[in-house]
Amino acid sequence: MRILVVEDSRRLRTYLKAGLVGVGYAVDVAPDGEEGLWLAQSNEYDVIVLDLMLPKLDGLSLLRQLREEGIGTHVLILTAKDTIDERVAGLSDGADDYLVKPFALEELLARVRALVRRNYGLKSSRMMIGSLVIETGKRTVTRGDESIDLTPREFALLEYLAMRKGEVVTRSEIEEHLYDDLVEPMSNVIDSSIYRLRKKIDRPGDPPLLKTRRGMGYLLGEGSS
Amino acid sequence: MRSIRTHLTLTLLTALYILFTISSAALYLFVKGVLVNQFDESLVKKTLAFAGMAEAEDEDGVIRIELEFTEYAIPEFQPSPDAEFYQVWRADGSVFARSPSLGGEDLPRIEFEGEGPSIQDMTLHNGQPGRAAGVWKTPQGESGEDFRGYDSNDPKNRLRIVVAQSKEPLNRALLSILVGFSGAGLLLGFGLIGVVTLSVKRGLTPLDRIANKTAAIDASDLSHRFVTDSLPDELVPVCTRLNDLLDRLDSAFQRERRFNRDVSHELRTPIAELRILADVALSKSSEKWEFDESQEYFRDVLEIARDMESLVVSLLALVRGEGGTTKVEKRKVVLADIIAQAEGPFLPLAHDRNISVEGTIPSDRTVSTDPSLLLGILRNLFSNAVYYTPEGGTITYGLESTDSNSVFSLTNTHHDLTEEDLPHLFEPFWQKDSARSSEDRHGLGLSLVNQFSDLLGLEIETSLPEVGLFVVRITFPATPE
Repeated sequence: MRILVVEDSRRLRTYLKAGLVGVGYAVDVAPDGEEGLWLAQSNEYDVIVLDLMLPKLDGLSLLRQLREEGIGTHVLILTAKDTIDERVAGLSDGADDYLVKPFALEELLARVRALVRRNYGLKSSRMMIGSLVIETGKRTVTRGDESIDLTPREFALLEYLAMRKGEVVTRSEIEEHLYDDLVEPMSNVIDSSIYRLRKKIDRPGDPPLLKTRRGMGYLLGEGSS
Repeated sequence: MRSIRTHLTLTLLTALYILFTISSAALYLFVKGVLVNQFDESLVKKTLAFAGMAEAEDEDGVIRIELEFTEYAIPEFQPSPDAEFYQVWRADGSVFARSPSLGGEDLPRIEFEGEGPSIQDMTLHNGQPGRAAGVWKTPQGESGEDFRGYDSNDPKNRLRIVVAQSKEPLNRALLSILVGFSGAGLLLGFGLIGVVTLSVKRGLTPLDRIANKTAAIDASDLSHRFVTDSLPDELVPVCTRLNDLLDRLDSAFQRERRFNRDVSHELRTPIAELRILADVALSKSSEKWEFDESQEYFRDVLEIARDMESLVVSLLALVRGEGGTTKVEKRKVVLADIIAQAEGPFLPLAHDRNISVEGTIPSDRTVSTDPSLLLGILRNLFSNAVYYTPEGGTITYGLESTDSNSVFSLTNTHHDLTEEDLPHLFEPFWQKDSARSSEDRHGLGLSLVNQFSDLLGLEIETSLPEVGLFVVRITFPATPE
């Protein structure tokens, strides 16, 4: 999943990114409203974490502009303002959720996960693909009775594929949603991630779950194509 | 708890009752006096009239005393329950005549000095209380002259004429009047209770309304004001003062709320930073820690701690100043020295940002001030100047002196201040950048400058003399030699 964090506090920006990357999200950051707007217009994010008091362009103006342009990315507002009026103003202008500073990283992650699920029309944090069970809240994966250890990046890849189970997901979509701007487009990082993930979830004797559609992309579960 | 209504009602009722009782008693005594007087006058008139009818006659050489009234059956003196009485005695005490109403009994004899008429109370023959008028009368001859053998000056010829009447009718009349007054007093009393209670209640209604409105005022909403147009004159000043008080309270509460909100906001961001930093650090497994990375975390923790410390120190200084606990110890200081001390720490930053700082202060100029507070003022001003001057800009300072004062001015280039900003510069937490994105500035520096200036009796003013220039001027009063 790819997240944009627009926050003017350098330290908060840095550690938010670290926290989100730590659980496998691809994260872009912007220190002011103008850069945040430009990034949101240029890329497809699953969630935007947006501070309200920003230099150059404040958070609410940025949000309004996104909605006017028809960009419906889920937005989690992050701010020190905590009055009901201020919350209502943020939500009325198109925000999807509101988190008041200071906050726990776990809460932020839970809210981001909830917004990601909404993005893919999922209501539960539990996803099942055949005998594979993915708990996005607990961040656990099991197949049958066996627990599978995944790195945060592998988990994010599996989560993304699971959210689109039955669909062929192209390499560029994976790049777009799981890797930030620092990843070289031509690198084999996706191939090697898919290879490692397949090794962990598909075991000899079990029907394979992660399939490659040559020239098209990857498919998790039973697909029509 | 004392109640104005109860106090007023009881006082008014008591005063009115006392006044009514005194005036009723006075009226009763007056009426009684008039009635007794009329009673007495009537008795005296009858007595004198009877005395006027006494004549002495020479009837064939025999002296005959004649009382004409005894010859008629005067109705009042006939036997009846309300009968009046008369009795006439000779000088020797023998009874000359008595009214039929006495039924043959005698009136008690009354003694009086002189010829009379004399009035006195008595107990009548029938035991009733009565009143009697008496005169001594010596009958005159028919022509008004003595005649042979009769001397009208002879005391032996005197007659004592007494007319008496029962006081029962008078007493009954007086009792009726007394009962009437008492009844009227009772009715008036009840009436007064109602009238006084109602009047006091109606009179105090505006006060009740004010009390109710005052009780409804809540600290969360001080926008309520008392309408004085419809109030009685006596309450207008009270409500005007209350409205003034509410104005002051409202602005103080708003200031406090704004201050609290700003403090809260200023603290939320570093606390959020600290918390997320700790969360991220704790989420990392120990084998993934690298020395440089952990150093970075600790550097950030230290920075956050310094920011919060700076905020808390500034807040405490503000609170101490507002509470009047900041000590001011004035002494003579050389202005050039203290200005050099103030600008020194900021020169490296100014150099890094390619900002030129120029100024000269005469080395002999002294001021009487608290050096630490003045240093606080100047450091804040230099800090702001270096921070807000754009890269490559200039900062200049100087001192103009007259006999009466010295004016220190600090001028720096800027790119975004407007005239509308100037009144807000000294407000706590005000920053031109509404995003408040600066991590090491909280908008308290100029508030402290303002407060310290007040403590030192310095005048401070700001201006934008031309586009892109901002000037702060501090006026020092002349130092007494």
